[in-house]
Amino acid sequence: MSSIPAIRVVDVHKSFGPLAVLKGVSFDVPRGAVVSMIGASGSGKSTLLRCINRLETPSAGEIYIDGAPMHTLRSIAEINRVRRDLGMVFQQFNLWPHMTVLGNVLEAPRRVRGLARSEAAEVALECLRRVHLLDKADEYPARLSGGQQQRVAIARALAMQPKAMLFDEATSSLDPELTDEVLAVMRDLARDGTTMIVVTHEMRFAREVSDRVLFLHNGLIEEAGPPEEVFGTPRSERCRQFLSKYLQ
Amino acid sequence: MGNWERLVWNQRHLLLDGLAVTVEICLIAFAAAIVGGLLLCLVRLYVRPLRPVASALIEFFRATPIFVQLLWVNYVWPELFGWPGSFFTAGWVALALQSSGYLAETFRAGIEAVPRGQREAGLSAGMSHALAFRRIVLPQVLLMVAPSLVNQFTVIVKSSTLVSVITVQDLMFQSQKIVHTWLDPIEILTATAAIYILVVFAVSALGKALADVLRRRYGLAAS
Amino acid sequence: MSAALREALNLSVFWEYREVLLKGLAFNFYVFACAAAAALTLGLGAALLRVNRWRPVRWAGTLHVEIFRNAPDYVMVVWVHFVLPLLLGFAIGRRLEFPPFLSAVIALGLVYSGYFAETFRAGIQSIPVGQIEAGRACGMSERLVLWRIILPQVVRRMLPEAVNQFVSLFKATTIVSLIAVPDLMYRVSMVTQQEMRPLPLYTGAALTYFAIIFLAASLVRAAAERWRQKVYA
Repeated sequence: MSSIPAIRVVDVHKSFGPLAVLKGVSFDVPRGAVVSMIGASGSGKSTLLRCINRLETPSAGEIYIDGAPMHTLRSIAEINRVRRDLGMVFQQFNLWPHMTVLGNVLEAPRRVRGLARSEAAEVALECLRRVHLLDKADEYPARLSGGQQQRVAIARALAMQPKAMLFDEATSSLDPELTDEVLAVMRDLARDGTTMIVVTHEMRFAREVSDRVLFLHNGLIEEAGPPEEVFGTPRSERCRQFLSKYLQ
Repeated sequence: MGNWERLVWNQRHLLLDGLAVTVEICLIAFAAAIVGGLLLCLVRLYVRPLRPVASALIEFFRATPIFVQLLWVNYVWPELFGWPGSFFTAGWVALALQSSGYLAETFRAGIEAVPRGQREAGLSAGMSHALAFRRIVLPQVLLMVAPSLVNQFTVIVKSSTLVSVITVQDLMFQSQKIVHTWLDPIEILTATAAIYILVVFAVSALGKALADVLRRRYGLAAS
Repeated sequence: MSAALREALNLSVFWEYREVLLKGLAFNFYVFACAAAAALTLGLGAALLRVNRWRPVRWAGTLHVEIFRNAPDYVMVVWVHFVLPLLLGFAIGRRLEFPPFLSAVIALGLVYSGYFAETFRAGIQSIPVGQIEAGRACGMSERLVLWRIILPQVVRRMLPEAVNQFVSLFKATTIVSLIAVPDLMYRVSMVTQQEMRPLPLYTGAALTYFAIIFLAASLVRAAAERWRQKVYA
C-alpha cells in the first residue's frame, strides 16, 4: 500500500478579483481516509473542493492527486485525464435530464474511458446496485425524488472508479426526510474504504464517519484533527462558536 | 471601385427619396397592422359568433407568404373590391395584413398575461367590463407588448423591400433603377444593403432598450 | 364584384396547369431544404462563436448574426446574385455568374443562419451550468460536453422556436422567383402572362401556400410537442 497521500493540498490561495477566498490552505488526504470540511458559508470550503478538480484554478499553491501535480497542468486534455480519477457529487445533483438514470451513469465510462456499451452498462448497473437504485435504471431523472437523484449522482461519480470522491454539500438541497438515504450511501462508501472529502453541514455524519475534520474560517483552516478533538475539545474559539450553533 | 462617389454619393437624392417612401409605407402599414391586429384579437376573444372568422383570418395572414399576399392584394383585390387604387396602397395593405396576423397573437398573449385579479379589482370597484378593459388591461398590454411591436416593425421594414416589385418607388426600387441605369451593381447594392441593415439594427436596438426600461420600471416581462 | 369573385374562385385554370405549378412548388421545397441545411450549420457555428471564451471570437459571431439577421431577404437575394459573383470574380480573376438556385440558397441560408444562431445561443445559455460542470468533473472534453449534454437539450428546448423559423424560411422561398428560380410564383406569373387570368391563379397560389404551411406547421408542432413531453414528463 503506497504511502503517497491520495490528495495533497499545499498552501493553496484563491482570489476572485479583489476578493480573497482561500488564503493558504494545506492538508493531506491519506488513501482510504474520509476527511470532512465544515465551516460557515463563504469560508471557502466549496472553492477549495473545486480547486482540487480544477473547476476553479488556484491563484497560488500546489495540489497533487496521487502524487501527480494538478496545479501545473495547462491543457484541458491533461486536466480531464486527472479528473477521471476524481468523482464529484454536487449540491444540485446536476443529473442530465435528457438521459435515463442508466444513461447518466454509463455516459462517462462509455465516452470518456471508451468502454463498449455493454461493459459500461455492467459497471453502471453495479454502481446503481451500490446506491440501491437498480430498479430505477430506465427512469428519467425528472421522475425521481431529490434523494434518489442525488444517489444516482453518486453512482455516476462512482462509475468512473475514481481514486477519490469529492462531496460538495451533497445533502444541503435535500428535504430532511431524504437526507438519511444519501448519508447512508455515503456511510457505506466510507466503510468500503473509499477516499472521500466531504464538505457538509451534517455534523453528526462528520463526527461519526470521518477520520479527520477540517474547520475552515475565512479562507484558512482554523482547526484540524480527529473528530473527537474537533467536536469534543476544539482549540479555536471560532470553531467552538460555530459548533455550538449547529449542535444541540 | 472608386465608383462610390459617382454611383452612390451623387445619387443620394434618389436614394433618400426612396428611403422616405420606405419609411412612409412602413409607418402606415405599422399603424394599420396595430389597429387590425387589435381588432382581430378582440373579436376573437370577446365576440363569440365571429370567433371562427377571426381565427381563420389570423391563420390565413400568418400562413401565406408576404410576397404572395402582396401580389394577391395588388392584382386580385382591385377586381374583387375595386380597391386598392394605387400600388402604394396595395403595398401597405399587404404589409399590414401580414403583420396584423402576428400582432393579433401578440395582443392575445399580452391580454392573457394580465392577472385576472386586476380585472376583478376593477369590477369590484364598480367599473364596467369595457371601462376595466380600457383603463386597466389595455394600458398594461400595450406596455408589455411594446417590444414585440417594435420587433414586428422591423419585420415590416424588411418585408417592405418587396413593394418595389409592384413598382412602389421605395429605396429598393430606386437602387435597382440606378443599377439598371449605370449597369454597375456592386457599390449601389452594397450601400442599399448596408442602409437597410443599419436601419433594422437601430430599430432592433431601440426595441431592446425599450424592453429593458419596461422591465426595470414596471417589472413587466415581454411575452 | 360577384363576377370577379366567381372568376377568382374558378380554380379550373389553376387545376389545368397543376403539373407545371406543382413542379414549381417542388423548387420551393428544394430551395427550402438546401437553405435550411446551410442555415442550421452556419447558425450553430455562429452561436458557438458567440459563447466562446475569447472576446474577438465572440465579436466575430455577433457580427455575423447582426449583419444577416437584420438584412431583408430580398436585398440579400439580389446582392448575392448580382454582387457576390462579381466580387469573387475579381478575387480569382475570372468572370463568375451564379445560377439562380445557388444564389437563392446562399442568400436565404445566410439570412436564416442569423436567426438560428440566436435561437441556438439562447438555448445553449439556458442549460444550467451545473450540468456542464458535472460533465467536466467526469473528465469529459469540451466537445463531449457540447455534443452529449448541451446540444441534445438545446434541440429539445428550442424546437418550437426553430419550427417557427423553418416556417418563415419556407415562406421566404417565394421570393426566389424574382431572380428567375422557376418556383411556384414564377410559374404562376408565366402562366398568367399566357392565359391572362390572374385572379384564379394568384388566388390559387395563395390558397396552396396557406394549405401547405398551415397543415405542415400544425403537424410538425404537434409532433415536436409530443417528442418534448417524452423527456420532460
